[in-house]
Amino acid sequence: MLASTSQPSAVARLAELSLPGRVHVGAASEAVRRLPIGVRPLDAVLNGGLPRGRISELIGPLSSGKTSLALTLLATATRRGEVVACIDPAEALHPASLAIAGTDLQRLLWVRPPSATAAMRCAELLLQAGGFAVVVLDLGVSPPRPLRGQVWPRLLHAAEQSHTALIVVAPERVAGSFAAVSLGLQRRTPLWRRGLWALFDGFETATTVVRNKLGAPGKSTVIRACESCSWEPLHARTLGSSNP
Amino acid sequence: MRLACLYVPDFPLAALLRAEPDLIGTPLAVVDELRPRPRLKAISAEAVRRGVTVDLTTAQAKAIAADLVVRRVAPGVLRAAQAALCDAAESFTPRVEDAGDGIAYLDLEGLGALFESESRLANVLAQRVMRLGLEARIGVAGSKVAAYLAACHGGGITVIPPGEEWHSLAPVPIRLLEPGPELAATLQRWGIRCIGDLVALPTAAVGARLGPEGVSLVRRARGEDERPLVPRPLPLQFEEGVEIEYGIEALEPLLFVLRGLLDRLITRLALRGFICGDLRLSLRLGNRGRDERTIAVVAPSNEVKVLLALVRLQLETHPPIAAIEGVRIAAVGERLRAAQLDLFRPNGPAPTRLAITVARLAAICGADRVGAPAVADTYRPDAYGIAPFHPTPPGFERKGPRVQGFKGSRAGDLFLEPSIPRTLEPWNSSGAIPLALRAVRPPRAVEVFCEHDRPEFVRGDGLAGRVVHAAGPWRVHGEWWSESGYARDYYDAQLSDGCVYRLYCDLGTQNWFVDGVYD
Repeated sequence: MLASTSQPSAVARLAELSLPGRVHVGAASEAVRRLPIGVRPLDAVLNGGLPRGRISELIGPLSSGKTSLALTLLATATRRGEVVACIDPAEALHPASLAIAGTDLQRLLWVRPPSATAAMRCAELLLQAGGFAVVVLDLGVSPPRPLRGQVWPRLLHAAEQSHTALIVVAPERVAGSFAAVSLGLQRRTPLWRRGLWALFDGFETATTVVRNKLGAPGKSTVIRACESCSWEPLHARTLGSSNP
Repeated sequence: MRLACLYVPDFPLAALLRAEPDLIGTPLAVVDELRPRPRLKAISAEAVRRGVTVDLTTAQAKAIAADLVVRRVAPGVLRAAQAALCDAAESFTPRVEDAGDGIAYLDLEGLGALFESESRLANVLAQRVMRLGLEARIGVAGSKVAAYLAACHGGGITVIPPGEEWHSLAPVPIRLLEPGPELAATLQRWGIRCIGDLVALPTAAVGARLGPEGVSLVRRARGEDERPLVPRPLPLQFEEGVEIEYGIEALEPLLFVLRGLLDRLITRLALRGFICGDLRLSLRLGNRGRDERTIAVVAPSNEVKVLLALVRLQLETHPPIAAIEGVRIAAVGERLRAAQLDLFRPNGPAPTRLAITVARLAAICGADRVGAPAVADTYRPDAYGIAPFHPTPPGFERKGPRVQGFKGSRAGDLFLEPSIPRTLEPWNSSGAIPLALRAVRPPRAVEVFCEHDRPEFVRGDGLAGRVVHAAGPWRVHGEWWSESGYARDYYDAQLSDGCVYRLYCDLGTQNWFVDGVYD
């Protein structure tokens, strides 16, 4: 163990070796910067948002609201003027949904790799480029198994260096212990508007912090992914304004 | 009026040495291949030292100096050198005349305020030409012909003060005015060998004896131009090229050649105050084919390393099909745009790194699979677009994305403006977020069992369930005037597995598809 008197010289030596911050001597590391999702109850549960420079997971089955949450995160970041990226091997990104969420589309880089392996390579390139606030890696409905074990440490290292939040969207946990935060989403009730014509309005989703290396896990809240809270309903945008 | 003439002696040789600097110091000769038996057109100082002279055949020259390197110069190399010479001149003034064969004239009007003397200006001009890999003689005088004669006859920089053209050019030999063979012989017979002797003759007498050609020669000898300076149009792109003696098959040697070309290209662009935009690479292949490709430079840059990385990625992704025997690379010059960044807003990715990253991603995924998403200009529900990724700096906003092409969209459709809310999100405090659709591309065919025209059961690849709730139909139809017309009935259906899908029935074929999942 290094004596306290040797700390400045050790840190200076590491800085000379272009490795500043790689080894923390004695004192605690600098505070983790947060990336607000833009949903107040959820940000409160996450102590201000998802951590920058770390891997976070949004996990849940289909129709649990994980895509809606990821798009909200992208929208919030681009509205702050930040540049974001979405890696989408399943080609599931729906530009109209992005626009409805309020995303500045010019600040979003959409990458559609041909396979999950290529998606990992793309994620690493984007993290190494630096300057992106968020990189969303959407592993689709069924992530390939097994993902190579060396991938996650490399991605984590690149994310730390660039202070980019890497958000993995998957039906189940994939990053293992390399994920700093895992947010589990579980659909509770689909919301249907009754009347002369039934209309689908969205879901109510229970959101639980499954894993949190930067705070206490287990906190949960309920969010709603719904059409009625959008500025422009998804149906009006994509299917025209005609009534059924 | 004051004019300067840039004159590069032995221009083909100079152009070749500029394109292939490793030949400097070797006994080198350039042949004129247009003649039936190629003869030496220009020779280097090393070759002269070994006793080689101009106009020998290759065999004769090789007999004198066995290690003589004999090369032909490709027209592209000559063109690039001439363009570089004009670029050096245009870094001073836009009024530059391209006279060809290593000669360029520039108008010095108005440059007096920038330089203390014409000698100083000529010195700086010579340095700029040298930066472009050429060595030019410079003459400054009151007319084109006087400036040309001063450049040809003088050693390096010759400045003729105004009104002293006759006196200064008197000892210049008449052959520099390039009279016709008959006229030259007549003057030789008369004992008139220098310009001073010719100018002393009365014009009327010369006209009576030598005709219009003689009068024209006397006028030129007096420094009178036959036509004024004609500025060349400013070039829209800059080009460099090289011919390779032996075909290159591997990437690394090709990149070595390209580095030299890019170096020279960037120097030319920088002299003109431009930065490098999109690159156009043209490869002449060994199978008599040609490989043309455009390399998009997302963030215009004058860093050779960055541009070379983009070229490497392009060549690695799509390697040429045969050995390469000639390379030409052209660049579009773009003006550097200053952008004021905000102290309190986040910085985006560094433009040059972003350009390389986008190129690398395009190499992995395909060029049409990387970009900014765009909402399609159509009512077709499954249409989407992709635009080049040029993130605007924080605080700036572009009016509408530049969209490359939409999948399934047609020109002439009405445009749906994306309505991005400009105020705080309504979902911010309530815990509600906008609903998103997860697209299924291409739409997955399913079998739907209906009862009273309502979907009751859905069965398909990896999907089966009873319909618990359904909403719809929303009838969507359009583009009926074309083959890609569509008419569909859309439904939102919650299946027994709990997921909510977007289904549609194609009214033309009565087939059902899933084109999205609400998630």
